[in-house]
Amino acid sequence: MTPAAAPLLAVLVVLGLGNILRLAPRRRQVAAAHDFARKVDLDLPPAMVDTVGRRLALREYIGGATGLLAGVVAILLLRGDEFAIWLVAVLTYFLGHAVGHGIVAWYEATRPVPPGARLARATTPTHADYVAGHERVGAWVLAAVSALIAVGLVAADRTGVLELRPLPWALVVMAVVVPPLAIAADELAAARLLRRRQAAATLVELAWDDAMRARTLRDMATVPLVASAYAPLLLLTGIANQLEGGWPANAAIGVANGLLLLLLVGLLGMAVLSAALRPQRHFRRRLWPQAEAHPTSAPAVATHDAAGSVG
Amino acid sequence: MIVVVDPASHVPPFEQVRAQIEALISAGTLPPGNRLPTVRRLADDLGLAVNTVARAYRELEQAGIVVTRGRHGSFVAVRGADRDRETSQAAQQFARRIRELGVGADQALDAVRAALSG
Repeated sequence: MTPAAAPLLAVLVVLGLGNILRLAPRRRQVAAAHDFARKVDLDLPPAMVDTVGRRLALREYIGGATGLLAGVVAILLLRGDEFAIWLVAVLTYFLGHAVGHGIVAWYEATRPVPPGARLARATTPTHADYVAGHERVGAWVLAAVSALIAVGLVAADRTGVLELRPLPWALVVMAVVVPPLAIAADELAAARLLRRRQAAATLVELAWDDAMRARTLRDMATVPLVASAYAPLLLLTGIANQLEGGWPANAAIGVANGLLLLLLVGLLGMAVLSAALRPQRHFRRRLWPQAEAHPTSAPAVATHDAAGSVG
Repeated sequence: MIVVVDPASHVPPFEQVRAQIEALISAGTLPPGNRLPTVRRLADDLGLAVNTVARAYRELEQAGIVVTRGRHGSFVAVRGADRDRETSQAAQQFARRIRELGVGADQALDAVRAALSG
């Protein structure tokens, strides 16, 4: 670890520990359960408040711990530019967080279920039922943008349009290879997770299992999104940092900073659009369309009336 | 599209699964060509033995309600009545579009014959 990275480490540890401990008190778990229910617009019967709160807390404990561990290891091992270390540390935090959520989701699929009536879907939900299209397509778009920027900069350098040498080849390769690899890994992990069982005795339990599953899959989908956004950012900052002179004397600086600005504006636009589309409720629109159309008949239906009544 | 299995019921679990899937298909809730969950997944979800769900699927398959396509899984069969219904729907969509375009019936039928023979 470089001395300059010490403050980053301290900030990451404080934020990470805060995130882990945030849901330790029971009242916070209850509040988080109600808050999550509002976000996904799902009925939360009083009997389920504690269960949902505990499941959310377990996700934050494990996800927060694995995320913090990954981020700290990244800071301790990395050398070089402080900004780049910070970007990679945040990416590894998200990666660790998503892995932690995946572990919890995997574990929860094996949890014992009390004897009695059980219900299941007669269809096979897919990744697209849990993660909104714009989030999944957005990762591919960003991956393509990342590769285009990398290839474009290399082409501009090779054809003599811009003087970018020495090119940071490691970052160029990373911008081309890492985003599609991250997407492929996410799709594979999601497919494995989707094959796990959903044990439920009532429709509302199944709906809540869908909500938790959607949250986990969306957290996992964040990793390729962030990787695809960070790869070109790292490449462009890496190139801009090694260039000498200033705009307009050195056109390469203008191009690198201009692309960086465009990319940041694009990412901000995507974030705003994503928030406006309420991706947290996507699973309800896809898997519980009747409940979505008639919120008052949210899937809080008793088991015995369940067959064929929803979806 | 929910299947419920009550172990306390006097109806055997495989029959509960079979009857409910058949009812969902008959009602059109599970449309033809729709993929059913794998035997293992449905058994896991319902807390049943794999053989129990496999038996329900086998009986649905023997009744021609479900078809199994090897590793691809089990699907709701496209039966005669479904085919007739979907043909009728396609024809109605075509007729609506022809009216919108202001094309005469003879010309439309000629176009259909040409498309079918092509």
